[in-house]
Amino acid sequence: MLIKKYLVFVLFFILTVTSCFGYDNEAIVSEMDIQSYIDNIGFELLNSNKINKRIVFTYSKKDKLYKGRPEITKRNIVIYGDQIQYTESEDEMAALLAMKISDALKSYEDSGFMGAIEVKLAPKKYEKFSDKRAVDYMVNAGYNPLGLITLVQKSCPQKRNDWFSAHNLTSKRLAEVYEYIFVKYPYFLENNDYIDNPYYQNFLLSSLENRKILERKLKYKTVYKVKYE
Amino acid sequence: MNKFLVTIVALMLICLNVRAESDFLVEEFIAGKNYSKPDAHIDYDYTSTEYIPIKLKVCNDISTRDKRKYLFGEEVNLQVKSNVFYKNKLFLKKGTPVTARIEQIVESGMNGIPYYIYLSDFKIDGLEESKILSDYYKSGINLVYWIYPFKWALTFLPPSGILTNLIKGGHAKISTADVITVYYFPEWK
Repeated sequence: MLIKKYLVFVLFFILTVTSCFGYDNEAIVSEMDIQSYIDNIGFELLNSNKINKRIVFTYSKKDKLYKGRPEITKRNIVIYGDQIQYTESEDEMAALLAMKISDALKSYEDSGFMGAIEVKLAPKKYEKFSDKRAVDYMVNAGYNPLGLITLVQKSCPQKRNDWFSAHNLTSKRLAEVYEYIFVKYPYFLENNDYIDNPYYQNFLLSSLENRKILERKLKYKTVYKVKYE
Repeated sequence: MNKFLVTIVALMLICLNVRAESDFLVEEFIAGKNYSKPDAHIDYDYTSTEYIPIKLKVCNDISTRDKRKYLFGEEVNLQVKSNVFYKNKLFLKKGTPVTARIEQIVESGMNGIPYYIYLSDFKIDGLEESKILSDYYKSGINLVYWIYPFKWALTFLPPSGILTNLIKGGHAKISTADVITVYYFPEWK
């Protein structure tokens, strides 16, 4: 009788312990999968663009609560849980990484320290700069740059204004990225793989005014910078 | 029955056609021009460490102070500054034409941030573009070096630190005397 009880207890213990380990393993494997997914795309971007500076990628399942910029201070690109949830395709993940790679690279300029300071002092200026560089990086690595438009369209909220903000109005960012793709890589708009994408369609719908502004610029061949809304 | 089916199929086809909103800008300026797909550099091999430094110079000055505005993607003409030798043989002759593109121009900003001109996509006659390593930019006078400590010093007298926001950095100029060095890796893929 005692042996029977003992055996039941041992069996119960083994089952509990193994199920615990099973759960942990699953979580770890899932995190490893995401980490390796990010690494694959990130290092593909670095190699394809012949970026000869060290940059590493880290996945953090936590949300981005602290607004630090590890990509500038440590050249460590951290993708947080609340950022990765918006990336549905490799193009969008490449867009997210490419924007951060551009910031990390800027921190290598001017002996490192001053480049990073400039990004922190003028975040809006370098936000636009990073967006455009990200387009180049994506194209060189074989990704569709329209993925950047869909990513920003669904993940960045539209503030009332950007006078005292560290970020540009999302509509302005999107308009400038669209203009950059339009002028430099028209192939992707002529052969648009994203035309049926609901987020891209929503961009077309919400950017009508800005695209009209770009139309006037192209029609009259003005070289001056236009003011998007 | 047949009429009903035909109507349904016709409706489906019409709906499919109007499902996606087309882009009027693409139709007006891009459609039908058959642009070629930009080359992606996804097949690479960086094993070799052998490289040839190539010194270049621009044919005309490029300045952000110029009345004409430079556009991103605009082609810039350069030339090889001096003869380049590789394994005791003349590899590139002085004056060989080179082209590059203006990648971006960053305008000057608050707190002494200067203008920046970034050049990329260097193309040299007879050399493969994928084997050229370049990372060239030129900035104007950078005032951030002294404005940033000054701004911090003024934080004890609020709001005077804000006044440094009004100071902008200098214009960027790539002159014909500037040496632009790019590296050619003959063994790279």
